[in-house]
Order: sequence, then structure tokens, then C-alpha cells
Amino acid sequence: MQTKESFSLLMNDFSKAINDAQGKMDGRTFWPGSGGQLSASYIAIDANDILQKMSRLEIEKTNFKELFKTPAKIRYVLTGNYIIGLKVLVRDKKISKEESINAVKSFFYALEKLVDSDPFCLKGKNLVYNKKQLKQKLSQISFQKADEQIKKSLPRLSVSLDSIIWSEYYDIFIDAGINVHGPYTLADGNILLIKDYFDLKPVEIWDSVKEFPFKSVKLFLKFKPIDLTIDYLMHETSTQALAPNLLEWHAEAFDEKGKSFLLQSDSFEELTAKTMQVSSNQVEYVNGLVLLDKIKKGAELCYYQLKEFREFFDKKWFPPKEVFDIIEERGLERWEKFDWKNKQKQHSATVDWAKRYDPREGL
Amino acid sequence: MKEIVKGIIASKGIAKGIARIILNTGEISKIQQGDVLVAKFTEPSFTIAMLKASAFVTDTGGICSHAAIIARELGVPCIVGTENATVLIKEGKEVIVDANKGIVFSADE
Repeated sequence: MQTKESFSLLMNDFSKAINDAQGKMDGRTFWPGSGGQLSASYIAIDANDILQKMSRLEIEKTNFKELFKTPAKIRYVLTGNYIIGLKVLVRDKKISKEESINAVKSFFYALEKLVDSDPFCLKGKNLVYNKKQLKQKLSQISFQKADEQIKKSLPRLSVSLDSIIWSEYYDIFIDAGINVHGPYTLADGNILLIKDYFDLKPVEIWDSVKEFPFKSVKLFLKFKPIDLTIDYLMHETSTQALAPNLLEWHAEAFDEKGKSFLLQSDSFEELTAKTMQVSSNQVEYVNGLVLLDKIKKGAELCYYQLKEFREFFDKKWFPPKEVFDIIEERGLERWEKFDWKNKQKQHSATVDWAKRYDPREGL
Repeated sequence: MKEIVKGIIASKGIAKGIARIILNTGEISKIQQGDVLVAKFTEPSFTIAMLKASAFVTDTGGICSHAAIIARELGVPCIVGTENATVLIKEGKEVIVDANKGIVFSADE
């Protein structure tokens, strides 16, 4: 585990990464609501649950990859409920500041186990595979050249898959369904982006999405060496458009039983149409929910984010009754309090993100 | 050309088309192929319309909002964070979205 000095260095990097990622966003645009609107009422309950579970682990002997699956889950939870929730627990004297700092140290340690390097994506890369793993993966797939038709149809498919993820996980819990990693620099100087939509059918939360044909889809996208970066929150940015720079591709899908399907280009339009249909229906369904139900579904998504972690301890992931009770009591008031949609100024630009997510600082 | 509104460059490029002001999901069917989608912000339900539009312009949003991410993937010009595009751009007017400069111009002035 980290020393005080090494933790300080990690916190500096963490702060830079958050400032960079949050600075690209506008807190007025989250759908169906901001993190505060959706989670503030139960944030301390969630944080305490994670803290208690982590404290039961022998940190240095734990297989964090099995518990968390992707580094994005840890990153999202840190800047979702965990650190703010720990601060609430400190404020309410449920834990000490020292305990909250140690809790964050443990999560940083876990995060470092899930990446090859650069846990906070400061270099603009989310590197899940090391060189050996990447080489092994590339040896198992064969790429196809991207002609002008593919440069139109594959981005459309990718966008539709992004949309179904947003529709199923709300904007703030997308780590529960997608892991975007890379860009990996290849031997020929080109770059590889992997979009792993690993959970496209969270039927335990939304029965309505069971008609979607696949549980997961993976896109392997080889681009010219453009300035594509991925930040702490899995945002892909580039000063150049992606589609015209696509060189080669490989796409595969899996059903719930793990059976794999190689996706060919002649299936893209049909799959895009199906994805858009399910996604549109899902958004309509969510938009039609009464406010408290939107928040309660958000709580289910929040807990589903760490499904494997929670099931390891409790054999179940679903939020406890006290979460829904407190949403009933305080959910609407918190929704109003953290409603940034009608603010005049861009909310993200006015917040000191480094301080907000530093457990050494108060609330 | 008359400048209508400025914003943050989310995805470079230039496009010309008829502006359609979309204020909620119920209006997305207004978008025809090649139109310019103008909205306060976009949510996942707008994607089906965005697949037809030649450019996106939004009042709010940063370079990692829905509109920005979709625009870069598709290679479509996009300007976000204009604050008041939905007020200043008139429905049905032809506009030029110059996302290399972050400016929306009127096409006929």
C-alpha cells in the first residue's frame, strides 16, 4: 500500500485527471439527471457498504480483477458516490478522516492492479492489456479493411451501441456496461481502440431490453495515428473525426450463453436499426417514470455497477431496503437541490474538482 | 456572411443545412436528412435524428457531451455550449455550421 508521500503523488495525479475529464463536461446536460440528483440521498449508505466490504479483504492477496472486472468501474465509483460518501460519513462522525483516506488508498491500489500503467489515464490512454496480452488478443482476430461504406455504417453502429448504453445505464453509470480501452499503439504505428460493450442486456434491471439480440459486442477499431485520447471517465476525444480515419475493423458479439458471433458488415444496418429501436423505447420508458422511480432505478444501477464485488460478499447485489426508504424520504429534495439544468453558468467550470474528491479535505 | 452564434468546437468540419430547433424528444421527427439539429442539449433519444443530421449545434454541453461524442464518431460538424443557439437560430432557415471556427452563420445573409 502507498506511503503518505506516494499517496500525495497519486492524489496529485488523480486531481489532474478529474479536472481534465470534468472540465470537458457540462453538468447541465446529464440524462436523466446529475449524479447529485440521482444518488445524494443514499450516498453515505452506499459508501459505507463498499467501505465495510473492502475492510474485510486482505488487500494485497485479493484478485481485484475478479471483483471489479474493469478499471472504469473503480474510476467511476471513486468520483461517483465513494469519496463524497466517505466525506459524509466523516462529517457525521461514523468514520475518521484517517479511515476515509485509507479507504481511497485501497481503491487506488485495486485500480493499479487492473491496468498496465497510468491508472488515471493522464497520458490519454486506458491501457487494460499489457503488450503480451494485446499481442495474444490480436493473434486471435482477423481485421477487415474499412472501405467507404464501412466508414459510414460501422460508426453508425458504434453510435447506436453508445446510445443503448446511455439509455440503460443513465449517463453516470455507463461503466456498468461498457469499457473503452486503448488507444494501443501498434507495431505499424497505427492505433487500436477497443470498445467492449460487455453488458448490453441488464435484464435484472430493465425487463424491456430482453429483446436485444446480444449480451455483448466488441468492436476492434484500427485508426491512422490520429490524436485520439481516452480520459479518466472514458471520454474519447480527438481534434480529428474518427470515421474518415478508420483503416481496419473486427466486430464480434456474444449471447447470454457466451456463444460468439462474428459480425459481418452486411449485418450492421439491421443491428443498428434494432439497437436504435431498443434504445429509443428504453429512453421513452425512463422519461415516463415518475421522479422517485427514476431515482430508485438509478440506485439499482448504482449497485449493479459493482455487481461482482457485492455478490462476492452477500451473494446478491440489489440495494438494501434502507436505500429505497431514504430515497422516499429525501429523494425529491435532493433532486431539486442538485438540479443544474437551469443554472446560467456551466456548472462543471465552477467546481473545485480536486478539492471535492480529496479525502483529506472536508465536504 | 452574418454570424448568428458562437460556441465550443466539439467536432470539426463545415456543413450547410436547414436548421431544425429540437426542444424535446417529441420533435425529433422534424429532422430530415441533411438538416442541422439545434437543441438545448441532446439525450439518447435524439440519436436516431442525429444519424440523419448534417451538423449539431447545442446551447449547453462540453466536448464530451452526447452530441460531441456522436459527432466525432460520425465525422459530423458540431458546436456545443453556445448558450442560446435555440433562441438565435430561426427554425427553417438555412445555416452554415463552421465547426472549424465554432461559428454558425446565416446562409443567405
